[in-house]
Amino acid sequence: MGAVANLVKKNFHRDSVQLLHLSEDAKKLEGVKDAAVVMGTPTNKEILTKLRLLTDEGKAATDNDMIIAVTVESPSQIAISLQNIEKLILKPSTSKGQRYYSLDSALQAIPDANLAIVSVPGEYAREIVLNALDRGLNVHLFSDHVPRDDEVEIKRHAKERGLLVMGPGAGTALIAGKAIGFANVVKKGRTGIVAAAGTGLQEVSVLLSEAGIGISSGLGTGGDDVKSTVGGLMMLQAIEALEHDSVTDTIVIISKPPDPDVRQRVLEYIADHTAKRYVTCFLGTESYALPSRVQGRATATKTLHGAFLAATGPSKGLGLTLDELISVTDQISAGLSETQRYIRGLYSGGTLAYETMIILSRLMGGVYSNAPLDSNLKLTNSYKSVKDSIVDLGGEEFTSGRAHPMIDPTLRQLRLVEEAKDPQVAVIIMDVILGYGSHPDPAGALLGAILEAQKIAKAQNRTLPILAHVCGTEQDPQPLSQQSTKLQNAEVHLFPTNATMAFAAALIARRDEISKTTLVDAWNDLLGPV
Amino acid sequence: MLGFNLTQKISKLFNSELKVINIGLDLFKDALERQGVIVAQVAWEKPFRLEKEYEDILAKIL
Repeated sequence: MGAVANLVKKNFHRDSVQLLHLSEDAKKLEGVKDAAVVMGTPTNKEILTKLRLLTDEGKAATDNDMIIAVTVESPSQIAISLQNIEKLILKPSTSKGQRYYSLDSALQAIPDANLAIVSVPGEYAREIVLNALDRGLNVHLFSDHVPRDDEVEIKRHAKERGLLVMGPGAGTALIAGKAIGFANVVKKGRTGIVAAAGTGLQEVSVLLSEAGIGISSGLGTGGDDVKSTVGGLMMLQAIEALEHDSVTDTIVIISKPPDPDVRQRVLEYIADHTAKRYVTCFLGTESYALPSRVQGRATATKTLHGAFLAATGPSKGLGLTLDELISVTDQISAGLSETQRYIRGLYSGGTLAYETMIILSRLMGGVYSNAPLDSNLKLTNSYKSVKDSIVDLGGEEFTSGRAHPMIDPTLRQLRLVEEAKDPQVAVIIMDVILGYGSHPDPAGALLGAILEAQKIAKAQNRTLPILAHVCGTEQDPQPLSQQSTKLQNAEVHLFPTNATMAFAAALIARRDEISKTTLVDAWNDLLGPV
Repeated sequence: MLGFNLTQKISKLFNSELKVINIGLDLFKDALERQGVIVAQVAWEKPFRLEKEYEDILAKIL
């Protein structure tokens, strides 16, 4: 068991990625059995409790305080271990290269810079972004929690200057052949993507690239851009820019359901001001009509998989038919007991979780979530699944004061083991997202928890199928084939798209309950054009 | 098209060598440098804030 101790450093801040690396380094110190260095947010305290790393001292910490938590072999090692961790924290950054102390001094070093990436806490973003725009820079604004009024002001400022602000909350962009934020190494080509949904951009760009269709640019707008208050300012700006880009011949637009007035504005803009080929993907359960003026050059879809198929054209596709999927799921579900009926989805990608809920709600009714399609199905406790639950581990309640689950696997590791203890669970589904920005070995980081989950089920004479969709390419820093092999060796069943994994999960959990007619209708409706 | 001049700076971004000023997480600088992108890192620190107790005292004095 060992001895647990906490040291609280009042009003002491490091960013979430620095804290993650500090935690990893602290675990390697001599005599340390386990360690974590986190800000004292409620989320982090909850996780420290689960890891048995929280003491009364840590419980008293606030959001602005840092908690150093450690488990050592014996109480005599506590003081020296905490001292050694403090030394790690205070060590100067080893990051290579020059650091500048203002935007202007950085611009003196690179006078022809064309993009600013901003990832400071949202409350501080406004002034920095306005300064960058005034200096003629386009901006990728990664920060969350930017006040809505600030977002509108920033985006109007950008529009007046003919510049782009991707975000707030934009995780992904592909520009000039480079992956920015959480993004994959995809083939270069002639399809442009505008997305108010980060992992939606990753999924579609990866699927297109793997099918041989290259990407010209992938532009994130941030999810709130399509709310009425912002009015789609940057979505329209990005469409206009891609419409005039000589490289781009097809434009894919991806978003969770925009507010109706914004959706109409975007569709009317496409009809009246563009001439290229368009695929719209407004994720949702309901169909929407394109203006008659664009029929023939635009296709409406409502899943990421559908957008991929529409953009590739009828001759391409996945090579996975519905009958093949049924055959695969029959084999997977063969060993399940009668009482195993429920799906648990543990997602790091919010848009992928959303796509899964669209498919599951169509096939088997509503599912619970911390970010549900229907507010009546919101989990009362995001840390505790109910019946069929799809959890977006990138939700605010999980990421306050800690790194996103694409970088930090801790939350999903703990949750996977928890879900395995529930005898009513029929299948667990997960996304594994590769690319720049993500964990250096996301599949490898899950293996311990996967084995533990399987061991728990086996001890209770259950089989527990685990399904995964790996979103990535062979050219990513974590090559797709290596990541896939690690999961397959751990008896994880892989699916070529998130949507096919969702269909498979429904077929496994509700085996014999979903009629062939319902299945075929849903497959054609959700994966085909609207 | 009416908007041609208005989005020229964005089109230029698409078709020029990417050169970045990164303000915030080193993670993004490191990832771009691995792809051969020129990046200048701006060191950003959270502005110092007094604890509420001291803020209240100062508010009374000033």
